[in-house]
Amino acid sequence: MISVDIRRKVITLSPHEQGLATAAHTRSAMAPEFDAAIAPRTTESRERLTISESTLERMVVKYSEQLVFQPLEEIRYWFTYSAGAFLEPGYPPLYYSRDRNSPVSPNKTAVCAIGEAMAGFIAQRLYQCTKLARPNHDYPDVVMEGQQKTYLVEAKATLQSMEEGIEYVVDAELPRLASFTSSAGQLDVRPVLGLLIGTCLVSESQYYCYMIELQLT
Amino acid sequence: MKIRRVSPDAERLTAIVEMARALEEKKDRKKYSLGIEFALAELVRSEMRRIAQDEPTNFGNRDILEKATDRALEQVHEALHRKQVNIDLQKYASTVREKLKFPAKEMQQLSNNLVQSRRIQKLGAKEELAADSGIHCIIHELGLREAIQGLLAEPIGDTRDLNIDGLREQREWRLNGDWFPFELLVEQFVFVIDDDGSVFVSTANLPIDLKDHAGALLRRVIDRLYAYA
Repeated sequence: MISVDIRRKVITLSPHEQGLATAAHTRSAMAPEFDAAIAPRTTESRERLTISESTLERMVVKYSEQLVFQPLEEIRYWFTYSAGAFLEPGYPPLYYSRDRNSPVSPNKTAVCAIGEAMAGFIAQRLYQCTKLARPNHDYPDVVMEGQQKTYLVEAKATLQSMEEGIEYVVDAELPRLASFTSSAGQLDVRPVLGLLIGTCLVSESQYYCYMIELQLT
Repeated sequence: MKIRRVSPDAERLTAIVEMARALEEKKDRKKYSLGIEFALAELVRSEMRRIAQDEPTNFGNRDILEKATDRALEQVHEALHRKQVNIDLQKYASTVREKLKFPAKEMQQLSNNLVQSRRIQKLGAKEELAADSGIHCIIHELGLREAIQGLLAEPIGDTRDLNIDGLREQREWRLNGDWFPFELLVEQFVFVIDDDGSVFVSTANLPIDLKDHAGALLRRVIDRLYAYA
């Protein structure tokens, strides 16, 4: 069983902040102004869920864009490597032969697949959403619906022990999803919400999710 | 708790009708629903999969994408007509055709390979069975015949009532979660119950007798879950 700690923010964007989001997405100089504008419009809460490996496996099949086989085993192998076990007998003697000074990294496809699976899982569990579409090579990652609303879901994932890593990635993505949600909300006839869900794979049995729900007024 | 679920395609059709109705009410022809575009694309993709599975040698001179788009549009038109909604779907259809051009080519190729794999019985089997309530479902063995990764039970038909409370009442079983995907713990197995009414159990790397045992338990689970005829 994997335990999932969730930090959940809800941000309500007025037309003014939606405009700032579009500006911040195209000009990084506008980002501080956007951040300052949304600070008073943000509420925060904490949640805790658990997910079994079988469920995560099913969610990978349902939500991952890339074809990936056994990403959980792949990540477990990475955690075994990073624990130093590969220096022990029974592991390949040449695995740690880097030829330049670049960091060794886990299989990014597996990490992304788990991030997308977790985003779908959280949208189902916390918002009672169902999957409407999983677009190919498109933005956002998943389109879901629930209670007569459309949810635009974007997933991010990292494999770092520091929670700040995924929070930085999600915060950096925020203007883009806010801008896109705003456009979709203006075009569409149903209420549109944005869900930005980042997952940090802290260990093989513990994930940390940092998520932002974007509501439009 | 009795939860009524519909198949994913039926759900997409309903969503398209709802969004189309709202568009019509706005009386603004400039409005464009991204929701309709995404849902239609998924409907066409699903239809392409169905054609590639069930009619692999029957494409004729027509492209699988054209055939699937026509069928999906026909379903949407029928659903809209039933609700007396009238919107122009052509702009959505052309975007969807463009989006799915390459996935269609890939599916067409895979469809030919599937015929060959089925002929030499390379893949896991499918078995149709009836739950105690009379509801029919298909049990799919997922993966290659020599390495079945899991079993998936899928109810047949668009509407299914799921007896979630019936699963909780079974004393030696434990149900985790307050919404989909539910996790049902039975002996050493986890059965994943999703919002389309499907039930999945992993059998990766299990010896054959344990896999058979998982299959027998799956039948008990679906007897309970699909208890409403």
